[in-house]
Amino acid sequence: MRFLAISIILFCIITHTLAQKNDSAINRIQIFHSQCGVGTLTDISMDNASFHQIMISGSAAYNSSYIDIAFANKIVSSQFITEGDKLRQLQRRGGSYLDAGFNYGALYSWKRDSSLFTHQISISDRSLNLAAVSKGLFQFLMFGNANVSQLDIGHCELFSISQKELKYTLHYKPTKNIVVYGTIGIIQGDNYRHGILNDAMLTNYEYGEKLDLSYSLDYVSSNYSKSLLAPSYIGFSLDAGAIYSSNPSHYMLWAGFNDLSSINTLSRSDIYRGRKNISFEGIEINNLFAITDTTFNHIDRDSLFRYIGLEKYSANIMDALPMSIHVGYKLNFAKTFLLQTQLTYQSYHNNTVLLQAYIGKQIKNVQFYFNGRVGGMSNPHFGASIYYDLTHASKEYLFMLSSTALDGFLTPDKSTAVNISLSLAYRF
Amino acid sequence: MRNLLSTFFLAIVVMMLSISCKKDRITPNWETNILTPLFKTRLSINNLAGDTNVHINPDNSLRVVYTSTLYSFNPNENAIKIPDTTVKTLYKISNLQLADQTTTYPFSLGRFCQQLGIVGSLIITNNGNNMVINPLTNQQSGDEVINATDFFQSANVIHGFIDITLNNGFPIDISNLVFQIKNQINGNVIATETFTNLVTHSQQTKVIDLSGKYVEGTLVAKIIDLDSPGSNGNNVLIDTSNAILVTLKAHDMIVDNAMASFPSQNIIDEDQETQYNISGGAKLKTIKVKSGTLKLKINSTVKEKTHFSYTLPSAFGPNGETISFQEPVPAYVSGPPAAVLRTVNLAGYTINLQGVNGNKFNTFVNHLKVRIDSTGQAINISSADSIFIDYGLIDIIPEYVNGYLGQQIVELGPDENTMDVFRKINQGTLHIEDLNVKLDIVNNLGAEGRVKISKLESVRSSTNTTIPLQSTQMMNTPILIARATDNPLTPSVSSYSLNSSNSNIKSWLENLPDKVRYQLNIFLNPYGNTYNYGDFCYADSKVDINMTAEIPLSLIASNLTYYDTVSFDLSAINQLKHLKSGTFYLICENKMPLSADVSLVLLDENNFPVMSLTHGTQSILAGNPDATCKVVEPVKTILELPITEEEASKIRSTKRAIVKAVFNTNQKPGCDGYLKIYDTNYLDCKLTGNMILKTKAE
Repeated sequence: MRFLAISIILFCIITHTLAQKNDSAINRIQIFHSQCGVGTLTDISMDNASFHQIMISGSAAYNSSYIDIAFANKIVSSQFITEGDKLRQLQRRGGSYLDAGFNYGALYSWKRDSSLFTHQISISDRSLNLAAVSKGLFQFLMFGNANVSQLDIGHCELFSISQKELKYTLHYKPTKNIVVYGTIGIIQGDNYRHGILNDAMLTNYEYGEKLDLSYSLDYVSSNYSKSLLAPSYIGFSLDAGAIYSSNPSHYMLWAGFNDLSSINTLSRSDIYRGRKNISFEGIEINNLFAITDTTFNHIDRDSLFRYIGLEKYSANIMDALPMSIHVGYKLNFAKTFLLQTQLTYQSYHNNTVLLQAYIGKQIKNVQFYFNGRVGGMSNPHFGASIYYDLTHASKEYLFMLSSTALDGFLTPDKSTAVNISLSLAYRF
Repeated sequence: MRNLLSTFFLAIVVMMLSISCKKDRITPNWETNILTPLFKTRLSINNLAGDTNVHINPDNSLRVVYTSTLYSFNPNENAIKIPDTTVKTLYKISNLQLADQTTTYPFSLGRFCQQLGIVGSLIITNNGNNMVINPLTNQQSGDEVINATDFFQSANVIHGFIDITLNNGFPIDISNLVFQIKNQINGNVIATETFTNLVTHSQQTKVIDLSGKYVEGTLVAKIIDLDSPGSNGNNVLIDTSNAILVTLKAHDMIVDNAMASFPSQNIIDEDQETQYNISGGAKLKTIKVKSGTLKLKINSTVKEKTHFSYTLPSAFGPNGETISFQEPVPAYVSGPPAAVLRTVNLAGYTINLQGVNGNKFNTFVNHLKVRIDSTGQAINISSADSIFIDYGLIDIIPEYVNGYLGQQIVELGPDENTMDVFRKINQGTLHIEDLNVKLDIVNNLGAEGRVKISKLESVRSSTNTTIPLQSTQMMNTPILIARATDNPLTPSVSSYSLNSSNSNIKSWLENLPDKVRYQLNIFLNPYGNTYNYGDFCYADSKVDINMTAEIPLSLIASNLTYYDTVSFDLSAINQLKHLKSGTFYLICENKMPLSADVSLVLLDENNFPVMSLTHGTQSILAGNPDATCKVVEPVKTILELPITEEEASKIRSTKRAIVKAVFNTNQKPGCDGYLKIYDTNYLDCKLTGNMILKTKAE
């Protein structure tokens, strides 16, 4: 059981924000995009040869600016979290960002001789959890309110989805130097949660005589999914981009965007909305010395909502997945060395810019990479990748094991980010 | 090798995907420290006073008015009881009727002449001709069998008649005719009747009394003597079909034992009066039943299905409905007769108890009827057959009675009644500045009475202190109480005021009694039936001795100890299961001139102490009186109630709590006498908690 828990931790609590690499066939590129490894796979080839390819891939990522791996491990394995654990997180916290999720799926692509078009169909399942938790809320959840007179909870946000997605991608090579591609995806959502807590402040009085709370909350939850035909939400997504290279074995340039999307919760979302200043001095009871098992029966979730001024209603919600825009450059030099950089802008909650670079060497049919990145929502990270290309006759096997963030393992007291991506492709 | 590698990589991918698919629920597990108010309440004198009413005096000080029934006399329990009365009756069938029956037989001339020898042959020869018939003497007919077995086969006749009618159809007069009827089997003669001067074409009737005779269904009729002057020398037309027509009519037949075909008839049909014996010589005219039943049990040995009818003609329901019903009683076969049971709910019925003629008391009337249908065929019914009918009024509780309730003396006590107002005070002293007590004797009974109270003691169990009430106007003095009046019921009230000057009522109440011990007697209708059967009594008509104590809240309390077990069920608070430890704070703002030393012990469902929430006794300070000895500013006290981990694990099993509070008035120089409590005085309590909660319940 412990082994299983550790395996889950190793797999799930891994950071992966955005990755791009080239394969042993130097004129071919795979793009893993979007947050936390939850984006689907895009596999683009500059080849003209005919091929069929089946690929399965999976990735999981965890990145938090304030929760280290040991702490997260204790959460997911239901271990007891000590005061020292909590204090360590509170003191080390540099930001307010948490990103966790996973993605797995299968892709089938094909191209005919001399055709200008390459087709891809992929199906994937992914979970995405983004949270921006203020120091005040973290402190309240972990330590409570007993040791402070005033707790500034500030601004907090949660975005959590899980969904299945069917995508179709068309690559078009109008000239020998350019490939343009476009993807349309159909989204079928399992659950959706999005909440924003603004300007929350909790004030204590001595001996707990009174609590003052001011807050502004908007929260949407839609998790009514019963089956594929009755999802919690539906939507679509678009990816598009272009690759340019006059000499693909020497360099490649690319630019594109991912997850330009819209999702709709089909009028089945529970919406909670509240803005209020409250002073709470205890539940008023008629007689302190006649408390029966029914005295508190009227105190339920609804009555609590009424008390704190939280309104609940149902409506359909339009929202979008986090979208990213990227540009990149890959250079092969000194025959067996490779250098690759990419700049990514992500539009969501906190708009961020991420710069990452890969440098590697190819030895026969194996490529080794070291990579690093700066920017984004957290501290710099570094990682490593290995690619193994086994070609036999007209058949090709490709294995890729990659991480863009190993620092969570290597320097756990400074960093939390870990991720892992794994894919296996068979081309024939 | 390549295949091996491919398989290995695929296995890793599948393993990762399968792990990533797991969505086990994460249950975070840590401790957090929450400081929050929990609940608040205000305790005023109204809360502390319990069942008493609190009134405000013109100076805004308070007085409590406590009303208690010291004793309640219910005549329906103690004096007027309607006893169960069951009447067992046995009915013999003494009035069994047979239907009237008529039989006609012709004695023809031709057949008669066959008995006359040559003369008869000559007459027969001249059939159709005229001839002279000579005088006839001592002539007889043959036997004529009369078959009445369709009517009855045999019967012992108690009462009844047969009319014998002879119509002379012969062409000659009959000067003398002796007609005889006898049983065919035993030959006993039923009747021998003589008819004289029976002129031709005339008829005569003789009535035969059958009382006491045994009559068979097959009879033999015979003319045993016939004398005639003949045709007196005249020619007369001879027609051998001419006949003496004999008509037998049985009527008004009442038999004792008969094998017969019986007609439909009531074999029992009579009124029955049943009289109650009511204690004290009460003579009731009517009773309205609050609850109770009429029960009947019927057995029959009659070998024929009977129909039982019951009517209670003197009872009427709320809408004028009467009680009347029928029950079929099966024919008796053998062995013990089967019983038919019937129960009627009498609730709401009013029963007249004045008998059939309206001149009796305590007597109700039943009408019983037993009927048989026409049997159609001969059956045997005898007077030995019986109908057993048991009936009675059971568990009668009256809603209302009237009449004369009787004259009786009811001795009550010595006995004790509880007195709730001080029941939870078990120690200390209370001094009341003044009080006024009114004792009311309330008579809801429609009859006069005379009450003599010989003992009314204030009993404090905790100290075993007893103080008898001393009052010359109340104690050991016959007190005549008037009767209540009806429509609407208006009780009579006899009031007596007790105060410090005419009694020891102040020390009687300051004894803080939890019981009142009494002894008294009540003489009902001491002057007899003075209202000519005009007494009445409702079910809830009582003679109450009520006490109304009006006590201004100007008092001195010294270690006045309140002790009670109260409901304190925290099992419904789910959040408490997260409690690891902490400290509760009971924050009190006291604006009363009373301090309280409190302890709170929590009990589980078996009343076993779980923990002491107060860890001993803690004090709530009294409000400080100002220069006018009035508390205008509350005094705040914070009681710390720490909860250890062990106690926290038990706290949700709490069902009750023992509360002990010792009250003392805040005596200060200048305010060391009686302190008043005003309507602005209160005690605010707020419970807060500084709790360490576990995010995951154990």
